[in-house]
Amino acid sequence: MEHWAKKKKNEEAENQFQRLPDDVVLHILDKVSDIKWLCRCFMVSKRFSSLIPRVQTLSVNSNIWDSFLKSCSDSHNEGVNNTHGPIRSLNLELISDFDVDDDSVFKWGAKFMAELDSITFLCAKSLSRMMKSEADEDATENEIAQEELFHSAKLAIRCLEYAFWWLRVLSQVFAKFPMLESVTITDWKNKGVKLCLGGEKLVECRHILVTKPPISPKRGKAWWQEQGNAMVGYVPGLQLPISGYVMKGVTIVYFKMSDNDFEAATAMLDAFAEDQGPFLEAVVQILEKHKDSIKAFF
Amino acid sequence: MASSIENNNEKLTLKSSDGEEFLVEKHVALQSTLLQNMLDSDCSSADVIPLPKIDARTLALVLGYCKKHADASSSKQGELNSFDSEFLKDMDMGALFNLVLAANFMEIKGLLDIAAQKIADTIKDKPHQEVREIFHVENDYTPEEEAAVREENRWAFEGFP
Repeated sequence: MEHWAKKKKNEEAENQFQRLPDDVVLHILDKVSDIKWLCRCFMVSKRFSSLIPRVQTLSVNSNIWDSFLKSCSDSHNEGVNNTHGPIRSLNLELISDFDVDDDSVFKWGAKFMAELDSITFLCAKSLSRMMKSEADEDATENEIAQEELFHSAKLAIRCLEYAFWWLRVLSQVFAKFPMLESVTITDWKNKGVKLCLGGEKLVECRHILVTKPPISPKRGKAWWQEQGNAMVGYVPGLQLPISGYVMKGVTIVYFKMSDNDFEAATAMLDAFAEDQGPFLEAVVQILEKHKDSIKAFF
Repeated sequence: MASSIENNNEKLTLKSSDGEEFLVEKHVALQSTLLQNMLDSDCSSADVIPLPKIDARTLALVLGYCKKHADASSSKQGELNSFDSEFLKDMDMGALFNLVLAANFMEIKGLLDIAAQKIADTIKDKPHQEVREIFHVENDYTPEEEAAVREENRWAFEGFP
C-alpha cells in the first residue's frame, strides 16, 4: 500500500500540467479569468506566459482597472499589454462604493440604443418575503415623505454617476480591445443590472462611443433637469407573486439621456430585462398598474 | 424521432486504456460528442470502441457523470448542480487531471467545464511558487527573466507577497 502510494505520488510529480494540451490549459485559465491573477501567473513558467495572452475571458475589478489601463500604455513590447489584441470576450465586474448599508433596496439599469438611451432607477423602503397574512394587506401611506424623496433622488444621482463611469469604462474597453465581440459589466454588489453588449448592438455602440465620447456626469446632471428628461413615480406597495416578495415604498426614477423618440415605458423594462429578481417584476407591475403615478420630475 | 426512442435501449462497449470493457447505454454515451459523432458516422454499436487515453478508473467516473446527466430531466438543474459539486469534492489533483483530459478527449463539455473550474479555483489567489509546487511545473525562467516579468506586471503584485 505504501509502495503504491509512493509510486502514485511520483507519477503525479512527473505529470500534471505537462500532460495537458494547450487548449485544455487555456480552458482552465479561461475559468480563472481574473486579470490580476492571470498577470501573476506570467511568473509561473514560460508556457503559462505564452498561453495567458490567448485567454478570452477576463474579469477586472474597478480598483485595478486604472492600473491595468496604465500598465497597457506603459509597456509596449511584452507582457499582457500588446498581446491583448485578440480578446473577444470581456466580463467586467466593477466595484461600486455607495454610501449606504448593504440592506438598502435599490437597483439601477441602463437602456442602450447604440448610444445610452436612458437610465432607470428603482428603490424601495423595504423588500421582504411574501407572507400569507400579508397578501391582502394594503399599504396605507399613499404619499412619499419629502425626506424620503430626497434620499431616493440622491441615490438615483449616485447611480447616474456610476452609469457614466460604466460608459467611460466601456469606451476605454472598445479602444483597447478592437476585436471584442461581447462585453458584460456587472456590479459587485448587484446594485446595477448586468449590462450585456454583443453582436450588432456592440458594433453600433462602439461606433458611437468612438466618434462621440460619453458626456460627463456634470453635464448629465444639467441635462436631467430639463423638462421631461427625468421622471419619477411612487407606489406605496407592490405584491410580487412571481418572485415571492413584497416591496414597500417604491420609487422609480427615469433619466432620458438621448434625443431619440424611444418610449419611456419600454426603455424602463429593457433596462431591467437582465435582472433576475423582484426588481424586474416590480417595474413590470408599476408600468401595468401604476403608470399614472410616473410624472415629470420638474 | 421514433428511431431514437427505438434505439434507446441499445448498448455499446467502451474499452479503457488498461483493457477493461464498459457496457454503456446509448443515451448515456450520447453525452459525449466524440461518441455521438462516431455513432452518427455509421460506426456499428456492436463494435468495441477503444479509448486508448483513458484508464478504467477515470472512465468509470466519466460514465457515472454521463449517466447522471443523461437520466436527469432538465427540470432538475438544482439537483444536477449539487451532484456536480459533490462529484469533484475531495478528488485528488491526479484524478482531476485525468478527468479533465478524458472530458476533453471525449468532448463532454459540461464535465470539462466543471473539472477546469475546479482546477482554476484550486490555484486562484495562490502565489506563483505555490502554483508551481501544486502542479509540479518547472520554473524555466532565469532569475533575471523572472524579475523582468514581475516588473512588467508590477501592478498585479501590489499588496501581494
